[in-house]
Amino acid sequence: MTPPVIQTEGLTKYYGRSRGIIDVHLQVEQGEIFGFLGPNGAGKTTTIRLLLDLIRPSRGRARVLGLDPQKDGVEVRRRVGYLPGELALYSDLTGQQVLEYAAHLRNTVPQKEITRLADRLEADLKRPIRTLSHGNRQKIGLIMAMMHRPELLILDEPTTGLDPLMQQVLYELLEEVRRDGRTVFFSSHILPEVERLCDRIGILREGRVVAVESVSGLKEVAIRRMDLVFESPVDPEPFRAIPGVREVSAAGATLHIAIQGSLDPLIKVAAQHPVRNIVTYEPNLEEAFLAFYRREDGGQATAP
Amino acid sequence: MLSSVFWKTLYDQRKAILGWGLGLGTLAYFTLLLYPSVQKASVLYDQMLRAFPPEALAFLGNIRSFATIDGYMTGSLLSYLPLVLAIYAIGAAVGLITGEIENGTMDILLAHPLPRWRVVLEKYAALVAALAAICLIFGLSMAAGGLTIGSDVPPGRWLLAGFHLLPLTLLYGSVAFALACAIRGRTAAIATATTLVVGGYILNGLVPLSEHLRPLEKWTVYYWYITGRPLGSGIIPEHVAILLGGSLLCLLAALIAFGRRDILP
Repeated sequence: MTPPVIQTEGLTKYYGRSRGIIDVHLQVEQGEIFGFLGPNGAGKTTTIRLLLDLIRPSRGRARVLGLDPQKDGVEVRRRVGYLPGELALYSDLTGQQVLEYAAHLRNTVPQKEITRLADRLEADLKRPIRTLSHGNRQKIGLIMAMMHRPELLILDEPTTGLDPLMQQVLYELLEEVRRDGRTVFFSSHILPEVERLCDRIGILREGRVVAVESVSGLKEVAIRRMDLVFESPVDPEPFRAIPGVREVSAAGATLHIAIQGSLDPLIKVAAQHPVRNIVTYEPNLEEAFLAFYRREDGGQATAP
Repeated sequence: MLSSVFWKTLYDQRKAILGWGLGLGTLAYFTLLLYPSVQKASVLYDQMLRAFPPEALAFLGNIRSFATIDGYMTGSLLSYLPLVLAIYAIGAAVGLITGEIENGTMDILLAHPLPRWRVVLEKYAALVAALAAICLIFGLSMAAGGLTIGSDVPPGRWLLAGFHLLPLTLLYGSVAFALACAIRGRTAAIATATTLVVGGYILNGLVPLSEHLRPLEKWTVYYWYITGRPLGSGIIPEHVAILLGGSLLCLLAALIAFGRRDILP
């Protein structure tokens, strides 16, 4: 059995006194696209930097491709491709020169793959990096991460700065990586791209993993919205008392309800009145995502 | 030029190497052109020297006379030149590590399959090569100046005088390099190395004022440089070895510290 491509156990990082990540347990299997979600400052980049041994854990351990990133760093980085969140490239070199340098550092010059990726992403390799827009630099960074066909791609917010057309190309490239049986671990806060691409998602909140779910599983724990249409107006108070109900508003004989979790108690209360219609809305990932960010102290998640 | 960290680093330094080499070289060349006229009036200059208090002479490398090329070049240039070249050595050393961390390219570099020690070693080797190249241009410029004024100093001696700058300036750079490898930010590295450069030079000048300061002399680091006279009595290999040994210790510290640290912009 192949070991997980990424495995972390109790991975913790403090910067002095301030929190990086706390007790992060993650497992990413070969051949999946794993989305790593969380707002800015949640610890996504810290986790990624720990996996690459750019920083060292305060506690806990990480394994990448079954190896210790610190002890076997050279081997790990030989088999991993990485795109940093804040990509910086040598500004006085051209894209081609940057890629040549990277290729030399890898002891391999995959010019065919560089050309293929550059064509797909419509990257301009002839101009100095300093003259390129953010999105065009991002393309050079993506080629650098992918040119050696790594077993694991670690991408920190890869679509930043790419125009929608190029975002689509990148999605296709990542799907090709998955079809090859290779693995993608990427961080994002763009929900539709996560929803489209990912097999599974890890959600990070204030340094802790609050959920690891499949996209469909995540939707199940999402807040569902529904309209209950009764024969005549009903008292909304008993509905507010139902466990999991987040919002109740009445408009004539209709109750708009937001509920998380099992629908069973809601249906039982509703059945005490003559019901004319039930309209349910497909939960989207954004609501699921926000559900994990609802503050325990009574603050309400708001979904558009 | 992009085949390794060493060559890439040296390639990035190419303009600085030429600028510093030619700048200091031009200074040396024109200083030498003035030598024949100073030599003619050396009786006057030497009277002036004798009137100097010993601490002022210490700042000029304790020369006795402007009549010899060693006395003239040491007093007018070589005594303080390492302080000037230290500006490059410290700036480059800190830039190679902290600069690359702060601008984010270290992330890309360390995401490649290179051990950290190799990155440190190759960058340090590039720093040594860059300083050596500057010293070479400086030595060649002095040799050209010597030829122009018809000096009987052989070309090899001029080159030796050029390279004699290397051990001390490399040590200044190595201290900055080690601290840049160990500590986040530039301040500690630049401040410590600059204190060593300026403080050592000033302390060296103050030593003649009091016997109590004498034991500190050797800790100025500068002492191990100024006691060698490549254009006169010759260099002192043990002193050069002490300076190079100091640099080697800094390199070891750099390797250990960089291997352990977090890379944080």
